[in-house]
Amino acid sequence: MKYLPIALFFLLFISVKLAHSQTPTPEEFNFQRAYADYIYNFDIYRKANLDYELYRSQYLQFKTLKSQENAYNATLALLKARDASLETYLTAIRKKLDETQGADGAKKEILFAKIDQEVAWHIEHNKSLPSAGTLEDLVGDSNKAKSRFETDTPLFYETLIAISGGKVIHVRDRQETILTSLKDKIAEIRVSGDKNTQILERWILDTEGKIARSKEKEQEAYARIARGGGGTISASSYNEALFRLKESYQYLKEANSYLSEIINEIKFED
Amino acid sequence: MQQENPTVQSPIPTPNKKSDVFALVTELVSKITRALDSLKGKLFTRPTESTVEGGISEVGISAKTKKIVTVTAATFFTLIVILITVSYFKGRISKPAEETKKEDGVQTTIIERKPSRYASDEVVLNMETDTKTLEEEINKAEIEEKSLIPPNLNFNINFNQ
Repeated sequence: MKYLPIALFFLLFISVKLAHSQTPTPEEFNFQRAYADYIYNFDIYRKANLDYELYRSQYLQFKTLKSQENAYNATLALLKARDASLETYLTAIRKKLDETQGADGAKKEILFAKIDQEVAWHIEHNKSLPSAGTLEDLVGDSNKAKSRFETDTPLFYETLIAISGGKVIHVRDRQETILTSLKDKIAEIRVSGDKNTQILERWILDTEGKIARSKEKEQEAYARIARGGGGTISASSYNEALFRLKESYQYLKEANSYLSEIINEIKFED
Repeated sequence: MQQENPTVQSPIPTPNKKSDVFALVTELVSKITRALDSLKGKLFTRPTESTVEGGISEVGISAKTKKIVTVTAATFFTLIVILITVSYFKGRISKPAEETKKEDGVQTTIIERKPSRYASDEVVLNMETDTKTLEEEINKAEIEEKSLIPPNLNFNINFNQ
């Protein structure tokens, strides 16, 4: 009976701790969550767009006050869902870039600033949509979002290229680390005279050549995106840049298989 | 001085199974041909020039002759079918033998190499593990973010006909 209050206190403390550990923290908001939000909002948008098409055709057919009211509500819902879709899409690509290892830090910061600005615009635009007004007002609001989307498009592609480029850089960085230790080991073998290192050194040069080609292709990809800069980056320039990055990655695959061969050769006598 | 061993030759040669069948068929065909030749003179009567109306000659074939000819033709046809079948199976049996000959021509040489003192070197083993891990990651990774392609949204909002 003497220790009962202490035991109760500990029990309470543990239960509070457990409850606290189960509540989601803001830090848990990662790409997976952001992407799930985007998919959810995009689904709402798709349904809203179907409703809009239906009520629009009814309004154009009957021109009654009721059909006008329905068309207004459907359009308003569509504009709101569209803004939410874009807002969550921007957040998803931001999170993806943030979590991609290898992406250039300075470039990341620039893109984050641009994305945050666009997210803020869409939130503001969503709030400003009038709950009552005319269809013409909504058309005007939609046109504002349309021009914003057109200026946003290069930012989408730029971010996607930064994500893909980050993946390439990450693999290459790791390969270069392996290559450096491999060169050190070969130098050690040369000094000890255990093996003829001439072939190994030649293979190292070949591997370095592949890595250099990979870098060239990566730079070509960024050049393609930069050339389409100034708000005119289109899907085609994105695809061209992506193609260069895929080529760059292919060179890294080949370089990796060269590394495996060199390591295997070290493991055997001449 | 080498002494020749007197070899006792059997009067009937012992060919292999395939040539045995072939020889049997050939012998049968030749026997049938000889039989047909001998029958030819007996069966067919020399046409007697009996003048029917208008001076046309007739050749008479008895019912028995017709029957014998039909049976002979049927036997001949059956023999031809057997010949074709035998030659077809002979070809099929000999095919795999050719394939094995080809395989015998290709030889793989396995060179056994002696491991160096670096085969168990910790640094080398670490590098090997890192390279393998990286290879797996490279093969798994997808450069393109297909799920994050910009959404296709409807911006064509208007109420014109």
